[in-house]
Amino acid sequence: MASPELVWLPPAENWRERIAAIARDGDFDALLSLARSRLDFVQTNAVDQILRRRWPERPAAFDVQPVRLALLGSSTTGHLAAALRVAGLRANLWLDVYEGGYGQMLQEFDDPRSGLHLFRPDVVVFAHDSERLAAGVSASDSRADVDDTLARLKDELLGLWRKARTAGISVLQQTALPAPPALLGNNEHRLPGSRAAYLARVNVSLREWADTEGVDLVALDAAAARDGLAAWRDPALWARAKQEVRPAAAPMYGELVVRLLAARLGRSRKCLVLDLDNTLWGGVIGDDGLNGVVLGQGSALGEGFLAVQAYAKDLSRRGIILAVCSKNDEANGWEPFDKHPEMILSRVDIACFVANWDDKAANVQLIAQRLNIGLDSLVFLDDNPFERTRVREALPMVGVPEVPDDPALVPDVLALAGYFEAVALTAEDRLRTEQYRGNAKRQSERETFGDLAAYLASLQMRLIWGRFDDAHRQRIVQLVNKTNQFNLTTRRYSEAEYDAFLRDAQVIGLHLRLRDRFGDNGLIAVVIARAQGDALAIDSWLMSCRVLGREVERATLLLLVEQARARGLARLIGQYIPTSKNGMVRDLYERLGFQKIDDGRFVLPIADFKTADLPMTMETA
Amino acid sequence: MTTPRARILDELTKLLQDIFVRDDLVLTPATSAADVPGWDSMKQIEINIAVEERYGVRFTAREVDAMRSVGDLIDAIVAKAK
Repeated sequence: MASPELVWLPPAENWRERIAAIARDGDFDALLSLARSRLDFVQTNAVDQILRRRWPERPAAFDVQPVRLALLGSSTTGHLAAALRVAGLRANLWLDVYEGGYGQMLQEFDDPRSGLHLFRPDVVVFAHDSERLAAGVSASDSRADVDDTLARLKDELLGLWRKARTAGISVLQQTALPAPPALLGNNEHRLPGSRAAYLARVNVSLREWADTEGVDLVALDAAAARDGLAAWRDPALWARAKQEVRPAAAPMYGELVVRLLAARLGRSRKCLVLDLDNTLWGGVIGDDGLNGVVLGQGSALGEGFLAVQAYAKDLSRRGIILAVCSKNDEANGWEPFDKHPEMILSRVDIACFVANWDDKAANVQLIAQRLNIGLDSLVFLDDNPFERTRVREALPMVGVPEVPDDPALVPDVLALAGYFEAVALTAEDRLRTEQYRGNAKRQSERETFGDLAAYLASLQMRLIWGRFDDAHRQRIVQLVNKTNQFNLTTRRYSEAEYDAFLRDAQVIGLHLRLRDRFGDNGLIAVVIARAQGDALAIDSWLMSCRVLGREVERATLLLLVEQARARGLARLIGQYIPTSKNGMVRDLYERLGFQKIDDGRFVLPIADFKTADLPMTMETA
Repeated sequence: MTTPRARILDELTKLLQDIFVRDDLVLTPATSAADVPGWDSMKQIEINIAVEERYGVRFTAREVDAMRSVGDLIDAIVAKAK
């Protein structure tokens, strides 16, 4: 029974020595590094045991988002918590896990003094087992009976989900493992009361219900289709201990859940950095020449490289930026893109192309700078184990998957790694490649303009702003949770808290979008302010770094002043809370004409505000 | 010369050291769950799965229920891993 393996992670070399040293010396970085290796379930549990023994509280140096997660199962789930915590470490999240009483979901929500409410979770995972989900269905049922049962299940689940969301808790729902054995066989769907057929319907229905209710699914059915049901569920373990998920599958279960948490926090990766020789084609373009490299042409190897390119191309179509990092002469590196008839990727698919003979870790950093994204947004795909190790050691925040020898297997490994997990496709995502190409164009135009003001004027910028509303919920919450640098207070808010802002008449929430003649930069800034006495206090102010230096800050201030005036308020109050990442806005308020009140707080009397010329027009959305 | 049983005992010791996160754990064929703190029914499941994966075998419910000691586990492995 092959268990699901974390095949994209490097093997945990010298496991026994390393785990013993961590238990002895308490080196948290060594623990993190081990957590980022290919651990099986025994090793995952061992890492968790040492984690909890030595670090019952989050070490201050591990300055990451804490997430309080409640796991509510209809059967045994105690064996999954360790893998959730370890997957959290791997994703730079600190997870506190609450395990609800087995089969006590409703009671936990209805009793205000329940362990669940005392725990105050940010997110709940409803882990219904297949037996529970198929409850009430029998082989003798008519179609109408089964329809009724499905309707009752819908009421039950939606009831649970809404209770959670009302309590400000976001919801993940596990789908059904296709556990029941078939009664008819290939055409099982013709027996209305077949539990196997019913669960297939439940899994289809769950998708619809989840989409309308704003719930994200943990797709165990898809995992079982990939790995085999036997890898995930063992009827003997169900009989022995009511375990729906095998302990050996727990590390992958933890991954599936945690990558959803990361995606909701806007922390999924954004860019795939590709090596060229023996990654996108077989052979070395500089040595073998255009006709010597292996790509397509019906050879097994050549078709495998086409599969890699086709997968990368599809990722870029859905908003993942592609970059190239290759040890090559630049002209050689481009040659297949321009001239090889079988290439799927073309020049325009690559947002940033770096081909030279320098250290790859340095080049990966260069790519992050040019694209203006964090290193933790990158995935580095390279067939050469030396380069992978080099990048892993120099830049541990970059995702560096193992690469199978057969290129045909690479897309599956990349998909399994879940680096690019997304819970929704926003319009922004589809435009992303275009946006980053626009960045590159702006950069080159800027070099032709000596005068910044003239350059900004030439951009024909339009700032389009609006108040918080339902339509922008997802994108605003995403931005609030992932923006680190231009972020004055780094307060993070959930969708439920966003909804509370919508209802609060004292709160002014603004979102800003910037267009220019090169295209749409998307939603690039968010401000949350609260009327307090005669002041408008700026609770949160954050902006995407890709529009730095374009006077959006001054335009935002103008909007805030207008909002304060409209309410008859006399002052703006701003706050700066320093973090390890937001040094760039340390003096923002002072640059904008605020006076310092005390450490971290600044005031601007509305009467003192002077309107300056802005290089953009402003309009409401 | 090490016998297969001695070799398996050695391998099981390492495996259980990982499972209990104790590198001082010493097993003998007579060791039973009662001798090792934390060896409960859930740990027993982990041990069985780890052993099954390590040796490419699968134990039946009857076999699992009949295991009383490390020696029983070694017997089951020797009988199955042919």
